[in-house]
Amino acid sequence: MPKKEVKKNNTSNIKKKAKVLTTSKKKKILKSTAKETGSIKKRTSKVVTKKQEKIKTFEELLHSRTSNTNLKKNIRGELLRIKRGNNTPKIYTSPYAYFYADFVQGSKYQKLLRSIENRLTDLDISGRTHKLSQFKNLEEIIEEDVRRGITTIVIIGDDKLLMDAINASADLDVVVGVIPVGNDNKIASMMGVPGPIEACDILSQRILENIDMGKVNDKKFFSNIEIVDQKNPLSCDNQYEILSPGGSISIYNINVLNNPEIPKIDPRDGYFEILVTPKQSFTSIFKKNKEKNESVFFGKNISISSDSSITIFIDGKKNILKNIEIEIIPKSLKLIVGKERTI
Amino acid sequence: MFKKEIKGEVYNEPDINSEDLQDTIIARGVQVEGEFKSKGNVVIEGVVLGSVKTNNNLSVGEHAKIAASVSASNAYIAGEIQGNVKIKEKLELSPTSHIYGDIEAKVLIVNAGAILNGKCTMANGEPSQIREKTVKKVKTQSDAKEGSQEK
Repeated sequence: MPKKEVKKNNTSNIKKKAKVLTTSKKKKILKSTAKETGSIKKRTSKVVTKKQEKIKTFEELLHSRTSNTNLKKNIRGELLRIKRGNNTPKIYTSPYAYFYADFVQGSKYQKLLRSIENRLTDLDISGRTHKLSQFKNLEEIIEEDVRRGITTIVIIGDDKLLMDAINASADLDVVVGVIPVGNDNKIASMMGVPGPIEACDILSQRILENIDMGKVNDKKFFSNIEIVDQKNPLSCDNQYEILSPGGSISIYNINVLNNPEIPKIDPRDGYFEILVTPKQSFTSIFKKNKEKNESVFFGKNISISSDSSITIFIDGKKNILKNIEIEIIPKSLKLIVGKERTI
Repeated sequence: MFKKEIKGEVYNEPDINSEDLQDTIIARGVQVEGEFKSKGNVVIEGVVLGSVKTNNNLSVGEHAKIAASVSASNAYIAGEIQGNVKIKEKLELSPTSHIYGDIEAKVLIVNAGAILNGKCTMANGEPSQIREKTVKKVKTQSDAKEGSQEK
């Protein structure tokens, strides 16, 4: 072969090789750049997502914070419960707990109290005693007692303490009894408990009466609700509305005051007795022969809705509420009663 | 001696008979709107709009105004009713009563002065079978007579 041809072949080979090399290099470079661009894209997308994650609305932030705090609270509460459950064994042997009213602890009633305590020990129904004062919370004491195995609460006092005890033990599975001491003992006489010593015998006989309780916006009540100067209609059982502008409405579960003017009210019938007295005109005040202008209705669920707040008296205590939902809870209260009961 | 002593838990179930049920009273100056239902006696002296239903007696006072359909077992009406009245047994209308609607009752007493504007239907008011038979007989006899006269 001539030298010139050999040279040509060599150069062409070299060129080919160079081409191959350049293409491979190019491919490599392309690959590397693609990888880089991919990684950059990924990075940027991550950053964007992170930023997006970070940028949250104020409500979301609040929600997350509150949920965290709620979680912590729940955990704490459960731990406390477990602790309490472990630490508070049912140590009380007697199922009875006696609550002495504040005024009973004076020297005036010492003799009577001693005779009551003696009678209770004779009948083998003595139990834990609580001497109440201004700084003691009745509700907390009852709750604690129930947790420790108390099933019967006995009030040594008057109607006021009995009403408080009934309202405090409304959500608990407890039987309520009374030993009437003091002047105001109308509920005790309705329950057929005439005096303090007889009350001990009645407690040992343990005649139980199941009585309805009322509920106003998740708060239980025993006796009655009063609404003065009615402005909004009162919806009864979602069927009909009662309207007496300017009149007064009394919703009774039980007639504690034993008022003879009020018609007979049965606290076991599963109904509220609704008494509506219309607004009296100026001339009717001077009339000698006053007509009985009281309306009587019966209902289980009562509701009043209004834009402005309404003043109502629940068991004689003033409350201001906006929307009122009243419902009856049939036979939710257990009372120890005597044979001569009028309930 | 043989009496059982009351010890332990005794639950007394209240006996709610229809006689024990108290009267529902709608007094003057009170207005009721909607479907008013009652199991006991109902006394109305105020205003009722909607419907009134009771399984027992109904008394509508002189000053009462009812714009509703009424149904009861027995009723004494002295006020104004705008609507149909359906009574199972006895319905008595006093001289001051005003009724603008149809009446349905088994026994009806209308005192002088009562105003009644509407259709009156008495229960068991359909003609008896004997009457139907006599009517048919009379009809056939009259048809036969007419036929003979035509001949």
